[in-house]
Amino acid sequence: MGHSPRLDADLESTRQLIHETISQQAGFVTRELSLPPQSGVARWAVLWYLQAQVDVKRLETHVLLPMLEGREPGSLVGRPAMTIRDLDSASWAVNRGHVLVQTSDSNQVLSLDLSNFPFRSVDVPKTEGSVSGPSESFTESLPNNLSQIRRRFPSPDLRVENVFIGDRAPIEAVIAYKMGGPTRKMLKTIRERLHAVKQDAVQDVGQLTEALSDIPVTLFPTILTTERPDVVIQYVTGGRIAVFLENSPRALIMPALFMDFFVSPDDFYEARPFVTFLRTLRFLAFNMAIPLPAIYVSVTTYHLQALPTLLTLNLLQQRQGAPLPPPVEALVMSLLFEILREASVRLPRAIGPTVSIVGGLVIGEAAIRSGLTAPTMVLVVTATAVAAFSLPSPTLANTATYYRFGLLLLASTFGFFGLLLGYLVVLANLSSMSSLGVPYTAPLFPFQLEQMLYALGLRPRPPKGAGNRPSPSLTREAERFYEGDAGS
Amino acid sequence: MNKKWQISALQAAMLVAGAVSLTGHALAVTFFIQAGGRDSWMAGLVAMPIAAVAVWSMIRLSQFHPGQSLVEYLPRVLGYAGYPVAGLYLIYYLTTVVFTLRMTTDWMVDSILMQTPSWVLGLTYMLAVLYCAWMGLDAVARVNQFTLPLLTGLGMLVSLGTAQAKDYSLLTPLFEFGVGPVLSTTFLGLGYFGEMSVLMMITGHVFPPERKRMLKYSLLALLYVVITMTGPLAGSIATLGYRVAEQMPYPTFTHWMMVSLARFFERTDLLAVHQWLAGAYVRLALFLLVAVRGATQLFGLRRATGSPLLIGIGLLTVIGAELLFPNKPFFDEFIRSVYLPAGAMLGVFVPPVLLTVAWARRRHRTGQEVGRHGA
Amino acid sequence: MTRSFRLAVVLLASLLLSGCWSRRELTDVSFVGLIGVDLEDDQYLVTFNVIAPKQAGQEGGGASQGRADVWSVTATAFSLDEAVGKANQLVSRDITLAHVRAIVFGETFARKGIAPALDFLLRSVEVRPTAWVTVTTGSANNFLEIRPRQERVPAEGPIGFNDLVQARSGITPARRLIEVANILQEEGIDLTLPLFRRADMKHPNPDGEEEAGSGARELIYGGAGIFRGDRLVGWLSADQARGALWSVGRVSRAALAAPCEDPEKRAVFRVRSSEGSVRTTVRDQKIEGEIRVKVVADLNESACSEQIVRGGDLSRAEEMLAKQVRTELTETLALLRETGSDYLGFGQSLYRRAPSIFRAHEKKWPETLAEMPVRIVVEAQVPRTGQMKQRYRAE
Repeated sequence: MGHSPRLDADLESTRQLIHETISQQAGFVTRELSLPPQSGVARWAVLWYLQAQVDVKRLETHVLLPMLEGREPGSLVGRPAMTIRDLDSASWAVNRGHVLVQTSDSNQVLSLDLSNFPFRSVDVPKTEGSVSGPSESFTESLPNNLSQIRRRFPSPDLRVENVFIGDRAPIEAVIAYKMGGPTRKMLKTIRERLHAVKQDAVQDVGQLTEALSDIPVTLFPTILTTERPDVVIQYVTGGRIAVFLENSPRALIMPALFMDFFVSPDDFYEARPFVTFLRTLRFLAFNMAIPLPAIYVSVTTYHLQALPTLLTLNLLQQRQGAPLPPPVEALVMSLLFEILREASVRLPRAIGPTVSIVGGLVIGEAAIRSGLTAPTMVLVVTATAVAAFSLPSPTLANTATYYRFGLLLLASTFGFFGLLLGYLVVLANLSSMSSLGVPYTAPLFPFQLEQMLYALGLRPRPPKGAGNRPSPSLTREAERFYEGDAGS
Repeated sequence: MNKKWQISALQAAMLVAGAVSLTGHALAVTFFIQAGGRDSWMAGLVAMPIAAVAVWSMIRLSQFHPGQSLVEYLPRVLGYAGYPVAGLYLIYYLTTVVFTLRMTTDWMVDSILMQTPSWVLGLTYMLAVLYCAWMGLDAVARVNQFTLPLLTGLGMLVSLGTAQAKDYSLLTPLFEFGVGPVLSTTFLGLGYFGEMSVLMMITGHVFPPERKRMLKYSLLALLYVVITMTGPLAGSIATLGYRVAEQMPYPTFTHWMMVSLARFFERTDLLAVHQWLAGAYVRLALFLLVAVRGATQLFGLRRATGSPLLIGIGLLTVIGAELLFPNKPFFDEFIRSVYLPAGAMLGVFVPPVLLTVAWARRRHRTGQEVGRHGA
Repeated sequence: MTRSFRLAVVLLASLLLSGCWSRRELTDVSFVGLIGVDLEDDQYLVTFNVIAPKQAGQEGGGASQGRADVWSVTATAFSLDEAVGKANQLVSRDITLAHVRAIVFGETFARKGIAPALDFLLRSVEVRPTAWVTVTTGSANNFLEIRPRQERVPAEGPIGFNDLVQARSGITPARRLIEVANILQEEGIDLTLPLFRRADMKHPNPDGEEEAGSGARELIYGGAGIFRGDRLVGWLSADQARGALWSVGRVSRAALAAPCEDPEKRAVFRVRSSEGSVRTTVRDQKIEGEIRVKVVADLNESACSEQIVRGGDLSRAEEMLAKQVRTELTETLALLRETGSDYLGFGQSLYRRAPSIFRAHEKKWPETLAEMPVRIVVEAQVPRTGQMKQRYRAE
């Protein structure tokens, strides 16, 4: 922590230093205490803290009174006392509800953790709702989150390490994994990446994703985010690494592969055949959510031979007198839908449904009636939207939106040629991605049968490898990645 | 070694299978039928053993020079003569890119987007290809791992979809005009299998370098390449009759026009767009990468220049595909009498020769060493 | 990397924004369902059956969903593509041939040879290679006025044509464009095309009055046209056309009426499946033909006075069936010899077996056909007799 003034002199100089610097803050308390003399020498102590950050009651009963009785401050509080060595740490400790103490006969400044911050109690998961399975979620309290993890996975194999990230205002991050799960190199990489974060006051794990990804900016998510402890356990026991952050009610899971984003929390607790069906369905939905409007546009503007004659005539009839050409119509309708979605997300829950009714039903119906758009166009746009909604990962749904517009643009210019071009570029993009060195599209391509069966829910557990790693083959791929790194 | 360039043995073999087979089932079908008529479908089977020897030689060669590409070890094998030969290979790979690009844009303009200028199609397509190539061999290999099974599946779909229209008795009588037509198609077929020489450029990047597995997979790739040539050839002749087929520039595409899916998609030529474009995508990316990588190796350029070079050469091939061939008959003639024979030479006949030379040098060297020890 | 990447994006975007060259919207084109080709003063008289949805309001707005208007556009030219160009001037939107179901050749045109028309049809990327090819007696122009009533929508005729041909494919030698092109180039086989005719009927409405414009012009199947080379040389009646189908085993669902002992009466068999083959062999320098047919049919009706099913013995029924098939084959064969059109493919069979012998006889193949003995072997099975075990008798 920087080169801030050191705090290892006698009490007077410490007091002087603190008086000149951090004590200027509002609510800062400096308290002097006369201690019982020891072997005839008079002793006193000074305490520094921020009024609002500490539990005053506990300060009195657990620190002040015992100290007045002559006990040493170091062992007074349950949480271990730390020695503060410089001013920055002192400021950090005070802000986090510590009480700094120095006695007149010592050159050490001790910090006692007496924080008492109000935290939200454990709540029902908000974005990852499920029908079956536990319904607890993380809170903003890191100790609480870790306690949930430990309680649910009370195994000697569970490893929890902490890392402080940030430069002048460090925040505690924790990585949790199962011994023998992730490879040593994965752990090394993730530690290095966390250490490399220089951003201060990181508020949520979401801010870490860029630092932790293999490729900084991608449209596809390479890190899974969850607010459910049970989901974290499912992944951690499967050999993944979870990253927690102070004040963040979510955990990151790495490596996260493409297929993982089709898993909903329910999948862990439902009957497997059903899970298989659902996952296949979501996969189909994703593949529908991207190209559907583009297909419609290319079939109605470029490849008039593709559809059966009767359907073509129906479409033609719908399009008689429509003012906008299909590409523009598709673009407008899709944009309109995105606006609608944005509106309903921002509004309070009570009004949300109203917007969707007004927007969806009234506008849609009116648009058709007024002849501004063809019913089939509305059908295509809404079907696409519904498909995107069925994805368990909102990030993936966003990805689908980006690519949908991209493909729409390409298809408007080149028809199927453009559509195919877009699809190939998406594919190339996917193929160049990795998460902690594991190929992003792993069980799908490079194809791994057992992993794929697991990803589809046709296998109860991930295939057995050394320990319970992501999979022997996946690990090998990752090894290849790192070996390559070392060799270059 | 760069991780963006590492692939597994399976990926390498699939890559070759995916990149090469497009010629056999789309680009060169018309040349094969024209050369061999009704009996042309046998050519692949006849050529296969010869090509197998070539493939085996390629793998052995890479075994002698682990971690090196053809361009790197050619001078070691042939001495100074190796440099011009390496140059020939690079020109051949670039020609493959130009040939594929030209054929693709020609076909698009002939069949799907009649009004679009072909340079626009070529340029946009090349940009998409460059994006993939930019990501490295690993990305190309992975794209291929997705597209190849899909291509194969759809190919099987079309062969099932036209099963009704197929009349395999159209393949008889066999050898009406003797074995001449079969042999001339076999030569062209060897030219097509010669594209597998790209294997020599990528085996150095295979990790872990398990040679037995590499050999096994490469021979399977050859088998795939033979099947994807023979199937569509026999299929086109059985559906269209060889006399109709030989007059068609894209017989396999006409094939697609005959399939309809469950009466909803009445014409599946749109899926043929997928077949062609997805196949050519991997193919272009691979050959372009290989040519550019080879050029940096041949001229001893720093690796960093590879990427700008990639884009430069990629865009040049677009211009080449546009301007080199004034019309389609000229282009066809070039493919038939220059490109495919060159492929047969460089891809099928040269590797065994190289192997023999490398072998002889090796024995010579070890012999000398033994002799010195003896003395 | 980022800079050149950006450059690429800009380049791509400028391409995308600059044009949509091949764009052709639904509302820019008029779809053609059928093409009729006739000959008029040595020129092509080409009729296009244009289909369009009924305009909203024309027949009660939304209720008319899926209804189609059909009308004919006729153009005269020296080539087909020219005719398309001329027809384009007669409709407000660009003609597209992407939805052509069938190409109908008029009789006079077919007699002059259909090959010249095929070049355009095969070359065009719009016309499907799977489009049906048929001939009609009289002019195709006249034929294209068909408006079959039973189609889902009265005016849908040409669209329903596809289903119709397919449904009749068990009794007619249905041909797709690509097959026609293929057969014309094949050695030793001649072409047959199904014959469809227009039949005008009156469809009175329940009040007994004839509906105005009720589209009472039906499409009926009438046999087949036989070709030598690409020229029409004669007609097969519906039964004779079936005779040609036996030899390739494509007969199915057809009803065969076989005469009983009393030649005035009939027993009817419904064909389930059939197999057939034509073989030409050379024995002692002599060319011999053989037609083998295996037919499986159910007894559908027996109007005979005698019992054709005796207990469990169906041999009498099978005999009758076989005899009927043989009769049809014999008739067909006679016609084949008479016209010299080898539509059963005796030559093809010989060619595939012994190309050199066929080549030697190729020049005077019709004469060879007329002389060569043909053996007809029919194997018949009657596995089922319907809901009755024996013939129904009133007494």
